[in-house]
Amino acid sequence: MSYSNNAVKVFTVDPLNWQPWVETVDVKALTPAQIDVLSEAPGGLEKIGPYYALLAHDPEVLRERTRLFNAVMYGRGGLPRRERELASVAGSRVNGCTYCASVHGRIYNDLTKRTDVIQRIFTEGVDAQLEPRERAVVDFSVALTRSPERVTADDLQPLRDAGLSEAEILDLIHVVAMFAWANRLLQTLGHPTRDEVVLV
Amino acid sequence: MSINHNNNTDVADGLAGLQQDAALWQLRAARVDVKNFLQGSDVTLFEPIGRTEFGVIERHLIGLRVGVITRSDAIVERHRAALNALGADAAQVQAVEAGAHGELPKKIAAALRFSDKITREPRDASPEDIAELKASGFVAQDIVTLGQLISYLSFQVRLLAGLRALGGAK
Repeated sequence: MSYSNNAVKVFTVDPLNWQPWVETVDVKALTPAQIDVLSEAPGGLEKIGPYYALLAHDPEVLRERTRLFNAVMYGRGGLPRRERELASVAGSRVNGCTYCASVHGRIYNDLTKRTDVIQRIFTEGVDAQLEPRERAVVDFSVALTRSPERVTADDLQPLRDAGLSEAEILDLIHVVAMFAWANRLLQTLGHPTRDEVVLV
Repeated sequence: MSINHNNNTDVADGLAGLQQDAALWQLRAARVDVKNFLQGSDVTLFEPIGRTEFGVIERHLIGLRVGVITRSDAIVERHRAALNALGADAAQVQAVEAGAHGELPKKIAAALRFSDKITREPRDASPEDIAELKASGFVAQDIVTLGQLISYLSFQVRLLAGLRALGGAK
């Protein structure tokens, strides 16, 4: 296995590929349920990436998970989109998911038209200096990612002080929970790489 | 086929102890898509349809174990009750709670070792873990379902912790 040679372990906003460790479904012989769920995936049926081609082994679970992800990240109102992306990057930084951090760091940079926030989190870590509201969002994301059993009402006070409503805090909890899920799939069923992906 | 979310009691509300008149229940209900698709995820993972060699008892044993190592009492109780209702082997249930994976059949023991590792520290996973799952009898389809199940439980643990804090827990 070429894992130790080409896995990307340094955080970057460069686009990365993802090499599955498990054989994917045969995209030329999809079942009706797999066609349905993959047509909802980014890129649709024309451009099925290795991640979705792997998760399509269980189309029922993938369908619910894809819709949940979209509701958590793109649901209208509530926590601003850029802060959902920031929380996802913070969680991914803690878990070491360079693939997720790359994708969502780029989205954050596109939304905010700045690159310094993500760059600092990548190079200095989640304790890097940030503006107060970003600091509160990142601190809570780190705490809930790392030690959910230790999170209490006290951990929410900095978010409330920074002006987040109860609904925005629930949105933030959903994003951190979603990336506990996403990071684990990306990190335990394959690895990020700059090389071409070989489907097994 | 689509899931009829309305026929099921909402699992997360139940685990968080939220009643319909509670402010937190209403806060969750306002994010109706998140609530429905989270419930749909739970139903597809714990009430699978179609072919699978990754059985419902094995899935609840994983749920029980994740509840134990994340110290989530509500999650532990849920899976204990489900395993009891399904007639699961009481000695196996006890072994899972104690983390005595060596006393269990090879396949579920491998799944539990994988679950313990990635629940605690996902960066520690490696292709060797996948090879071990395959050697113990997991096919590709069931490895994907197992990965989804464990990762879903990590979502649930964090949602419940967040809701507890929002409810004022010190």
